[in-house]
Amino acid sequence: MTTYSPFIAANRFGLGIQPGEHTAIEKDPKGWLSAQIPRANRLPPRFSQLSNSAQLIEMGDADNRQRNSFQQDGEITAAEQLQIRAAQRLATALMRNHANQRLAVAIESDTPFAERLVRFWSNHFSVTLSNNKPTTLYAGLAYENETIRANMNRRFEDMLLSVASHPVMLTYLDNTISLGPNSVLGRQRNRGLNENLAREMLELHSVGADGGYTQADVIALARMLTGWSVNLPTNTAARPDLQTPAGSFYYNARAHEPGTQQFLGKSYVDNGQQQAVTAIRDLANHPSTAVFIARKLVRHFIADQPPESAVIRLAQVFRDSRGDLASLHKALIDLDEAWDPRLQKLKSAEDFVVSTARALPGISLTDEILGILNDTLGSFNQTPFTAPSPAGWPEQAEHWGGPDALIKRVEFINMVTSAVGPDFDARDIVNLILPPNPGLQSAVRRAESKTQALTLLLASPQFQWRA
Amino acid sequence: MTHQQNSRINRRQFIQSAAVLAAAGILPGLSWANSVISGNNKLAVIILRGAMDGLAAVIPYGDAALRTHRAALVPADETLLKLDNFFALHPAFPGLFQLQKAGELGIVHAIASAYRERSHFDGQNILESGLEMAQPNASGWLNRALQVQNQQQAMALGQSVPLILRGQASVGSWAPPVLPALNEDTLTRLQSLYSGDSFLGPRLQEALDARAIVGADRSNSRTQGFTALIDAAGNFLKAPGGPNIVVIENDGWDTHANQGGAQGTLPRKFTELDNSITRLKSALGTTWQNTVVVVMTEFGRTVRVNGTLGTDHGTAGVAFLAGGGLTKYGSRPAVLGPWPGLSESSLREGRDLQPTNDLRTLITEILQSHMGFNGQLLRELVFPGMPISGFRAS
Repeated sequence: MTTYSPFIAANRFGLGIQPGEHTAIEKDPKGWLSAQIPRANRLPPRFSQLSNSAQLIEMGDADNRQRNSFQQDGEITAAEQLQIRAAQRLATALMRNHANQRLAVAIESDTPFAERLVRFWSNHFSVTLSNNKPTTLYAGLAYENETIRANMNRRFEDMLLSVASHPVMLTYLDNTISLGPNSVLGRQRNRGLNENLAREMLELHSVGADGGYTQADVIALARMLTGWSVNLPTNTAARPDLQTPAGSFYYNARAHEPGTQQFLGKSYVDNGQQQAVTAIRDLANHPSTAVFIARKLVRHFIADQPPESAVIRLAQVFRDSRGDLASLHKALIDLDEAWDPRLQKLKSAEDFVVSTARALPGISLTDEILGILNDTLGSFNQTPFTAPSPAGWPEQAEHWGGPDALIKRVEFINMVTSAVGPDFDARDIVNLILPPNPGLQSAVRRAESKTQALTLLLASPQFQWRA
Repeated sequence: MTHQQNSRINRRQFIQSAAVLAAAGILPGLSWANSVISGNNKLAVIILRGAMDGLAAVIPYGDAALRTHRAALVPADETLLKLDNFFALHPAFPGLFQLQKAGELGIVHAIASAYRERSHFDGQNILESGLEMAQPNASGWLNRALQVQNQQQAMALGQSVPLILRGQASVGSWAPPVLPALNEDTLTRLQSLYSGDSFLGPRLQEALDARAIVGADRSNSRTQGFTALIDAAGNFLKAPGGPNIVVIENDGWDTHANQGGAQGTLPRKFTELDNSITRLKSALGTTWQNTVVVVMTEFGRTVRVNGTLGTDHGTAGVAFLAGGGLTKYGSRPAVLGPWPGLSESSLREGRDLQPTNDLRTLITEILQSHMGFNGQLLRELVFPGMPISGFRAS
């Protein structure tokens, strides 16, 4: 008989319980989670004013073009220097605003399970943005909203396709510079394939490294993806497609490798852009994809060492529903393992910071406070869209709970509780945010000050785990 | 430094209405002219959070029952800093001992706030509100005092304004630019919580060990934080036009385990306090001559040592007064206040030192005689529930 704990619902599957939510969740913890699933594709109001990725890519491209033109015509003049600085200030403010809004959405979310799911998929399709690829530098959050959030209630194949065709991913994994060796442009320039996107789509996004593909499959997918690019001007020419906005997806037929491709045992005739679309839909529904995705979901939400029974069950649902994400998300919380209190996950740095803010009712999410919290994420090395590799942020407790990270967490809490001030009474929330624990309750009750009590609560080992 | 601008009007309104009342004869004596002291006097209040063990700080070595209750906590007789033939300062207080010889130290033993339960939170609430009951939105007694005498300017030194200074009157606050270091006591408590976690426990311990090796010594950094506050107190109090009242907080006094006799956790806290007051004296220079420092804590600790060589939450304890401003009170006993005794039958509830003085009466004395506050207003508006008997020196 499974017991549905409100703490497991809110802490393991959400972003940390808010003390005021406890009563509502307690009535029906599983129902509270499942009610959020259909709402996962809603755009939070905080994001409604943000520019779309095409606009942000155009802006990044323009900034980069300006810098380059200043550098190319010799010495950068003082006036040019001022222009560069002004552009940098705007860009910094924009990126800070995006980071702050993204953090605020997590902290104030009333559908925290849906937000966790968005973050899970965003990390599954991780992009790392840096000055090396200046055109997409500003577009991380827009990418997340357009590829992940917008597809939360569709099929996995829709999300995979949306990601693979998104200018941010195409740029990040170098597909924009990949040319079919036998395409018009490939022959003209004597250049060829870049396999980066194709390889990561197989290894990280779908069937997994052990999913049963060969180097020939990587090449075949890379060939089919040739021509998938971004609509941006060059130094000598206007953007290629004047009918669609700058910074949006652009299929360049002149870069596309001609010919039928053999991919994962099937033949794909060359029908241009549609060739890769068909291949990607099949890839999304490959039996190995079902297992790979199932294992990743269980590892993320339930345990670093995923119980095989849970993986098998989720993979079954994936196959039966043809990758329907809402069905998959529902199946996740239907698992008995999902509610097993013996299984534990350590919070990532971001979850730790977010859950800390959520535990403190009345915290005002000013730009200053959000900025401090974002700087904290930076000091924990988890600034959004800067994961160390295309594999995204690691899952293992060993990664997040090292000695130095732990002491940093304690210091962060020390800072927070100093700022909260001496009025906040941790005794009021200890039983509302964590499962009953006599040792912790007694430590909070016996603290020498309210500030110390709150420090002990939020820096406690119990608060580091997601249950 | 921040000022609560919006409360200035309220404060002015309060003073005006108080003046109207005074003119009507309802509150007789609202006049600074009554004060025998010039307005140049300074007050520093140091709040020790966690409940200082008064019996360890000021040791009644002449009480025959002392060693039967807590032999493990009493340093060797020859090391005690004897004040008279009954009381001694703990050996970790050489600075206070010097002040005592110069007439610049006052000690009150067996003193307590109105609080008689054993929660730190409620105890500190009552210590700072000066009221009978813990209230979540109480104002602080020092703030109410400022409302009745608007010549005074107070400043909180620390990350936040403590309850004692909160209320209608505007007060300043200042904190050192660095965040407060983690305190030793909090880390010790966290270690205990983590000891039950087989994954995180060893990792936290490794981190703490590593810090000890690289010299990020936690007691040092904590002391430095408090030192910065003491230095700031000295600078603020002697600055022309600066505040004449400061409040400083110090935590880490909740010694439930291994508090130490001659040496250990509590003696280290004593050393920190002793150094701080000595440091404040030198930072103040000649201003020390018209300064009084009040050191107070939320309650005392149990008379008997507990099973883990510490002490638990008790009732009466010790308050210290220090400052050149004390010399004007002339010669007086080294330790003030009637001594209730430590025999079994004298103990409160069979475990605590029985209070013989109410902290509010001591504070009233200081506010009135040293800072020139009006006694009537103090009794009616600042400490409305204070016992009428007043402070008992002996």
